[in-house]
Amino acid sequence: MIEDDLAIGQALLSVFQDEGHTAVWLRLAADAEARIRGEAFDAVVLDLGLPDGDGNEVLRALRADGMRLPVLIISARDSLQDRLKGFDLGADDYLIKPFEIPELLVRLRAIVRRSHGTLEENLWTAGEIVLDENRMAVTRGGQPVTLSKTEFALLLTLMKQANRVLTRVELERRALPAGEGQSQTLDVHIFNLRKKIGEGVIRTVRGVGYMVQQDA
Amino acid sequence: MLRKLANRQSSLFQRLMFSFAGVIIGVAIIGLVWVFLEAKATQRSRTLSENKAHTENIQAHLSDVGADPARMLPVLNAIEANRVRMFQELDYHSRVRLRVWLHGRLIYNSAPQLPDRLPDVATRDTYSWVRWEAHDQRQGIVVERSHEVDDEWMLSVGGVGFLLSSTIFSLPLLLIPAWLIVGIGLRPVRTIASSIAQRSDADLTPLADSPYRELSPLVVAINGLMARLSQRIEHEHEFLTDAAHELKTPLAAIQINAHVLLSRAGAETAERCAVPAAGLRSGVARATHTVHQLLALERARAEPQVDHPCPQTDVAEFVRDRVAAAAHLAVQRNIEIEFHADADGSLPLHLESMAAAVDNLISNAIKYSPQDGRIAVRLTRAANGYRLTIADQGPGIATELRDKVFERFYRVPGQEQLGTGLGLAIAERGAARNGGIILLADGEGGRGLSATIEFAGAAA
Repeated sequence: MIEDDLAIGQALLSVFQDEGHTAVWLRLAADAEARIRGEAFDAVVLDLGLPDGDGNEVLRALRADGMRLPVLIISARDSLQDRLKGFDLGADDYLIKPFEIPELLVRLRAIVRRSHGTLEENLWTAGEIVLDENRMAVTRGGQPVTLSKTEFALLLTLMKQANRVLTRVELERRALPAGEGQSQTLDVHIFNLRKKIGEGVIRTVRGVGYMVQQDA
Repeated sequence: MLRKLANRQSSLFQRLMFSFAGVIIGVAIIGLVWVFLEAKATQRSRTLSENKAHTENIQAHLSDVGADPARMLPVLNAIEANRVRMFQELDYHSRVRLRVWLHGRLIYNSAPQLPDRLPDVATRDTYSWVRWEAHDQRQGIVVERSHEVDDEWMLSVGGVGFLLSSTIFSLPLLLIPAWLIVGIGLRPVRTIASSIAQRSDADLTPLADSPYRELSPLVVAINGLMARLSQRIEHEHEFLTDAAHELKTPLAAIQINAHVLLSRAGAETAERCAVPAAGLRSGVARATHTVHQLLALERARAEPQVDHPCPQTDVAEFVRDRVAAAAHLAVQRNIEIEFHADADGSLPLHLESMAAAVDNLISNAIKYSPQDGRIAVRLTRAANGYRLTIADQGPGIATELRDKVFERFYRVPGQEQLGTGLGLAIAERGAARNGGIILLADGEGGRGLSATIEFAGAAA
C-alpha cells in the first residue's frame, strides 16, 4: 500500500490486518518501486498524490518494467480525465476517496482473482437462481434448468452485472451471436428465458434494457 | 441603460447641444455689436457727407440769385419743400434743420421750434445730430445744415429683432442637423453599452475593439476590468475546488477508521452501537456526497476547452445509458422507470456536464417518487435541438418555489429526503454548458414534477 496520508494509511493498514492480509505501508514513491520489485506482492493499492512524485509515475515505471501485478488506485482526483489516465497507464481499478471499505475489499479481491486467471469462484446467484459459469449450468431453487446457448449467455451477462441495468445495445453486443442484431430477437430470448427461470428475476426497464436483481 | 442614466444625471447630449446653441448665439451677439458700432460710425460719416453736399448745393443756388433775401427765401423754401417730399417718399423720419445767415443775420430757419444748439451725442430724449456749415466769404452767406442721426433704432426691440432675425430663424436649421450629428456621433457609445448590457453575468470575454480611436480607451479599460474580474472569479473557483478536494482525505480517514472501529467492536457493543454507527455512516456519506456535488457543480461550470472537443453523441443512446446507470435505484424501490425516445440523431455534447445534468434530474425523480411510482423519461425533438422530459409522481414543487430550487444549497422546506440542495444547480449549469435550459412544470396529469431540459448542444 502506497499512501502518504498518515490517518488513512494507518487505518487502511488496520483494515488489511483485520482481514488477515499481510500489508506493507509505504509513504514515498521512491521507496515503492524498489520494494515492489523486490518482493512478491499480490496487489498494490496506490495513492496518486505522493510527497515525492505522482503515483501515476510509479505505475508507469512498474508497467514499463513489465510488472503485471494488479494495481488499485485510490485517489481524491475524481475527474473523468484522471480516471481514464489511470486506466491508460495500466491500473486495474480506480477508487475515488472517500470510499466504503467493503467496496475497497471487494474490488481488491476482484482484481487479484482476475490476475490469477483462476476459475475458482465462478458461481453467480440471484435470488433462487444459481449460475455456474464453469459447468455452464443453471439451477432454480436447486432444480436444474435447461437453457439454450444464447439464453445462457444472456443470463450470464446479466448476472455478472447484477443490480445494473444493461441496455439493449450492450446485451445484443455481448450475448447475442453475431448477425442476430434485431431487437425483436433479444425480446424473444428474454421471453423464453423468463419462462424457464421465472418472471421475477429479470426486470424490464422499458425503453432502456434489462436487469437482474441480486437480492430478488 | 445610458438613457436612464442620462435622465437622472446631466446629459452629454444636452451639454453638447447647449454648448452648440450657446456658441451660435454668442457669435450672433458679437456680430450684432459689431454691426451696431459699424453702422453708427458709417451713418454719421455718410450724414456728414450728405450735409456737405447739400450745403454746397444750396450755396450754389444762392450765389445765382445774389445776396438778396427776398429772392433767396423762395429758393430755400423750394429746396426744403423738395427735401421734405423726398423724405416722405422714402419714409425717412429723421429730422433736418436748415439755417441761412446773410452777413451774420439769420434769414432762414426751417425748424424754428428747435433750440439753437443741437446735441452732438444722443441723450435720453433726443437723438444725436450731425452739423455742417458752408461759408461763402465773398457774398457773406453761411448755410448750416443739421441732420438727426437715427441710429438708436438698432437698440430697440425692432432693431435688435431685425438684426438677430437671420440668426434666430437659422437656429433650428443649424440645431436639427447638429442634433442628428451628435446623435449619430454618440451611437458607438450606445452600441458598446448595449453589448455590455445584453451579456449574461457569466460572460466575461473581452469586448470587440471599437473602430473609433476615441472609444478604444474605454473598451480597453472595460476589457482590462473583465480580465481581472474573471481571473478573480477563477481563483475563487479554484479555491472552492481545492477546498472540496482537501475535505476528501479527512473524510476518507473518518470513514476507514469508523469501519475499523465498528468491525472490531464485539457483538454486544455492536448491538448497542448500531444507531450511532448508522448515524456516523450516514453523516460521512452525506458529507462525501456534498463534496462530490460541489466538485460536480464546479466541473459543470467548466469553460469550453480547446483540447477537449465535445464529441458528436447519439442523444437517445446517451440518455438511455444515463437511465440505465440510475435505474437500479428505481427498481430497488419498485419504481417503474421507462424511457421513450421519440427522436434520434446526434449533437456535440460535453459529456461530463450533460451526464451530471441528466443524472441529477433522474436521481431527484427517483428520490422523491413514491413506492410503486412511475417515472417517464421522454426524448423529443424541439425547435432548436432536443427536449428531455423526466416526469415523476412525487410531491412536486410548488409553483412559487420553482425558481428558488435552482439556488445553491436551497432545499424545499419540510422534506425528509437527505440532500445537498446542489442537484438542480448542477443540472442547470450542466444544461447551460450544453446550450440548454431546465424548465420545471407539473407532472403528468397535474401530479408530481416534470423537469425538462431543452438543449441545442455544446458550443465548440
